[in-house]
Amino acid sequence: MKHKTKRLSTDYLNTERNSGSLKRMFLGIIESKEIIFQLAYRDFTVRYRQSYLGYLWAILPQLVTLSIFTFLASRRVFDMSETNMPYVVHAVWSLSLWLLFSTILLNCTNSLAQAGTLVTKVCFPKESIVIASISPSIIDFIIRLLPISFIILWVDFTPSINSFWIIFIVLIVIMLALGIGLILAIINLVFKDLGNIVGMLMTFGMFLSPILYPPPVQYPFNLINILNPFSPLLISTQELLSGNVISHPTLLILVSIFSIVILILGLRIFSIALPKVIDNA
Amino acid sequence: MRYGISDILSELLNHRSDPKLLRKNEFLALNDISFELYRGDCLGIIGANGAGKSTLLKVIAGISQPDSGYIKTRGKIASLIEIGAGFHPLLSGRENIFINGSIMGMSKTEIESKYQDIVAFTELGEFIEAPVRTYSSGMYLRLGFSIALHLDVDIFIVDEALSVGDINFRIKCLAKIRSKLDNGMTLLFVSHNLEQMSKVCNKGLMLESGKSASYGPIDEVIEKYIKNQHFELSEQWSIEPLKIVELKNKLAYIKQIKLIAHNDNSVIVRVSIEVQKEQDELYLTYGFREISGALIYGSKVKVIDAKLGSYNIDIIIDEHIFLKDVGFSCGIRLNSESHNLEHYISQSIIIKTQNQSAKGFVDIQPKIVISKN
Repeated sequence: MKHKTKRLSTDYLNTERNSGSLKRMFLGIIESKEIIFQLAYRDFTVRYRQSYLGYLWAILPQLVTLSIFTFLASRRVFDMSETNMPYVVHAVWSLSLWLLFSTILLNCTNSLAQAGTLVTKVCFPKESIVIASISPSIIDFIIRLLPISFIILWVDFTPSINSFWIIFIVLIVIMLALGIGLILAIINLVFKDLGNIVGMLMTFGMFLSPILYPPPVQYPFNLINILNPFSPLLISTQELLSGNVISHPTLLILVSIFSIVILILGLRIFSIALPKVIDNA
Repeated sequence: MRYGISDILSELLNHRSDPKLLRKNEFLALNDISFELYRGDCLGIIGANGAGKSTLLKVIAGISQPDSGYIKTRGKIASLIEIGAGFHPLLSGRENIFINGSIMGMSKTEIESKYQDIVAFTELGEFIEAPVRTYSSGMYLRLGFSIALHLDVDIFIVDEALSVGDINFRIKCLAKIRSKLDNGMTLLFVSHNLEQMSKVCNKGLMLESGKSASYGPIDEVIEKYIKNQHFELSEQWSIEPLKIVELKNKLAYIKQIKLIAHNDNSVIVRVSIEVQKEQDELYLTYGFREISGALIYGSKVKVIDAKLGSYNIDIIIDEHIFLKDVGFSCGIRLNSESHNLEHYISQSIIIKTQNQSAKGFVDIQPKIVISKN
């Protein structure tokens, strides 16, 4: 009986495969959850195969950047007066969230292009490749929570009870990155320069968001924070962590809605565009 | 690349350009092909390299989309267009079975229940735990094919897949495919191994630069393909004057091969050779090959004490001995042991046959006696 229902779900006309409704699109993703899981498992295990330091690589780059900037901040190379919590905590948290966002974006962008023959020679729901590619970033993020907790204990900082809400903002960050990533992944298939461009932008992006510096307040530099959808999310988590009131609640809600729309749009564009570009990949 | 981006944009804006209109540097990879297949059918697709066979399979598998026309499929499709597509070189065979299986549409419990069978079918033994990057191409094929053959699908698409497998594995796969066909699977199959194809398939499709050149029962299509494939059937072959200059420093060379019909139901293949330096002994090796290359008969003639000048060597055979058109190949060798041929001419002339009395290569004309006990 189980077999029979399964067969029905795949009993479709080939030509109509890509013209489904939104509901069908999401059902499709749920149907391919096992593929996503398997691919995610692959992406994750492969990452640290044949590597001696293994999972330490999830933490190391962040610790190096962090120590450099903590050193610079302690020497007053730049002014960090406005943070409401110890600079180390501010920096280590912001950096983690930024790495989550930027590595998801980067991994998504390159996922299809790197999958090679899997994209061009096998028929299966290919959004699984992109969705699965976010898994290493998420797991790295979770691993990084460990040194963050150590640092918080070490500097004797008590996070606010409101910090709980950060989980939702993290989810929004993931949705935003995945939505943009889906679109970039498709474009990167036919326009391979994009992978490099995104990599370059991510380096800049770190300095365009208030990660290691306080957010700029003067016009026109404060526009960077408003136009960069990541900044309001980041600032909100910083404020939640330190127990402050969220300074721009409307902006946060707008960005959240924007992220959800981008994700749906990304999935839609992906399913429409992929069959068209696959022969040019 | 530019077309790719403009295609995405026009698709998003719901604006379709006329698919029949080709832009610069574009071409129709497939055009005007139609066929229908039912449960248990097996379609063999043949054609020269670049004729569009793989593209057709990709379109049917749903990987590429046709610009016009439609494809209706019913049931679950699995395709093996490239062996090991999606294998990760760093992961072990076992891990790749699980990943590849789920990509091909198996659920995890399904893979787990079939895992032992799959591994047994690959005959890889303990190497299943080794990373796939250490596998040979044959082992790669075994792994990929074993996974695909254990899928429960209605339509199975295989592209040129079995060519690197050893003979045992090929036989095993074909047997498995047969039993699946008997159970109602539909198979689409691209291969250059016509022998294999005629054994497995019941229908055939011949593609010629993207167009359907022939469609029907497999044997007819294969026959047409062989005839089409082959260069003009000639009755005489002789060396070009230019080549003769090249051959001047050889000790001996083949000058001409001629087919002479004889009145008493026999055919003479006359090979003219030119000896340029006296030899104690000289061999003419020759063979009759079927068009696909299989040797039907091969032997050699010894010429003792060859003097300077031309020799004619006549090989006389029964006109009806062959059941298929055969090509004649021959070469000159200066001693019986050496594998170095002084001069070699391959499939020079074609001997056509009118003999349709039996199947196979050679008419052995058995004497049959029927008696009642």
